[in-house]
Amino acid sequence: MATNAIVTDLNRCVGCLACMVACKAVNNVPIGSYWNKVLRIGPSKKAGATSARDVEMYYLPVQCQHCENPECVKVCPTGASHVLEDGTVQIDKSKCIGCQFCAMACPYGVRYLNEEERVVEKCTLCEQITAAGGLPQCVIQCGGRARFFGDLDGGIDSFEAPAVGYDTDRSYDNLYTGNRVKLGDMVKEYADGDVHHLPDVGNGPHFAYILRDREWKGGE
Amino acid sequence: MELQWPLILFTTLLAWAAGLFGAQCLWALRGRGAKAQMPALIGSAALLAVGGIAVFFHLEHWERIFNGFGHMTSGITQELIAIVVLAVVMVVYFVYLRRGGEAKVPAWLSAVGIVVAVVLVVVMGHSYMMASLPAWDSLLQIGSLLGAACAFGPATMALICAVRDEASDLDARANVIGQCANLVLAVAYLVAMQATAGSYAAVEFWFDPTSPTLDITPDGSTAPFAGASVGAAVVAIIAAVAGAASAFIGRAKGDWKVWGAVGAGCVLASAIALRVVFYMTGVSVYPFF
Repeated sequence: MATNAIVTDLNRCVGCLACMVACKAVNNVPIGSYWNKVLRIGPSKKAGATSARDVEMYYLPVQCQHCENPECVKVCPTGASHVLEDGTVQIDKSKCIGCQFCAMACPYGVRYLNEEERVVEKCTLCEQITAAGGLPQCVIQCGGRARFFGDLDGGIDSFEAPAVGYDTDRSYDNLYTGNRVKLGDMVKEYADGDVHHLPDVGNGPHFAYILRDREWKGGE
Repeated sequence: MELQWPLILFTTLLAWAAGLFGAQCLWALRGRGAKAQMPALIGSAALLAVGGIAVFFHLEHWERIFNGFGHMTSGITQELIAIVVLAVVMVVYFVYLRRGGEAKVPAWLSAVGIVVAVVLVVVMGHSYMMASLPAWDSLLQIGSLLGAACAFGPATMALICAVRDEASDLDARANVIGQCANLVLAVAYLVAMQATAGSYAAVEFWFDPTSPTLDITPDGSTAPFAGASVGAAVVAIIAAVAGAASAFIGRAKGDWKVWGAVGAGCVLASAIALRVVFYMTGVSVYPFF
């Protein structure tokens, strides 16, 4: 068993939306639907602000959090929504009856009905790529090298992203065998208190967000 | 959330079916309404069937319903089991009605019928209790469905008894209690929904690049007494008050052909309006995606 997830360093995210676009392109997500969205949180006044210009904000990529106790799996009547050995939540479309209770049960609203196939879809954490040893497309394409993929059981410092540098091999193929940088070697120092999660209503979201020197909004 | 009409009809009609079957079991236990038993059973079975058909319109691939169906933690699976159990009890009830003549249903079967009817409504309501949707995640949501069943059943049973010239003291007593319970539980659930207004994640200012002008609650509000939900919430209360009034008027006048029908109509309006509010306030705890 593993617990695959993505950790995003929000201090590095520049809001380029490349992860959104990459996700739609590689997963053929229908027009009007998204498996991954980048929200802008703020601007909001800093603690102790003395003027209206004293503000802060951050970008927040939101998608399926591949939870520890996924409510979507619990409510699915056919077992179409299920947890894989790698800890990710997947949908067997051939079993989905389109009741959409999973979409209702998701605290983050990241599931939607594919109108053409009439089944529910969401982020797969690019299972088709990661099962072969690669990285999710949103991690590969991240413009700020803010997103890292890995197994939570190994700690988030072990999470990986494509290597950086002017002389780096940028081919996708080599990402299946290496050519990566670890979060612990790449990002600035952070404290345990800088690691945040989306609000937990008992589902235990696996994805984590690092945010330093700014106030995390929306609760955990 | 968009109004899910198949589910609104499903929950309302199942509450009606369970309420009517429970009421006829109560009448049988008290030795009343013998000639009304078979029409009431046919009525509750028809309501159960129509409600069951309505829910299929919500499914995008109903032809796959038995393709792995049966995940036990799913509220839908539990609902199906409860419906099948109620249907089986109805069949046994039917057999006793046919074999034993009028009002010869044994007391144990009537008691079982009431229990199974209550269990069906509770299981149905429980399937909508989701931590992700604060307005739904309340025991009073189940209570509101039980209230509707308690009002639907006696009103319909009193109407059938009146048509079959079998009026009894139970008509007035059960209707007054049932309609008052519906009013109290409907209002209590609306208040409970209102109390969840502060349960949603708040981030002050935010921006979604894919929907730059969309409000996070486009169908109304996270609270029943705000925004577009107000109208349906008011209708739910007024209809429930009218239902209670119809029970008192029926008790005073004793004409249950009229006041039973009026009472059932009021509960129908109240229950549907309450379910409309239910969907309009069905907003995720993290409503930004």
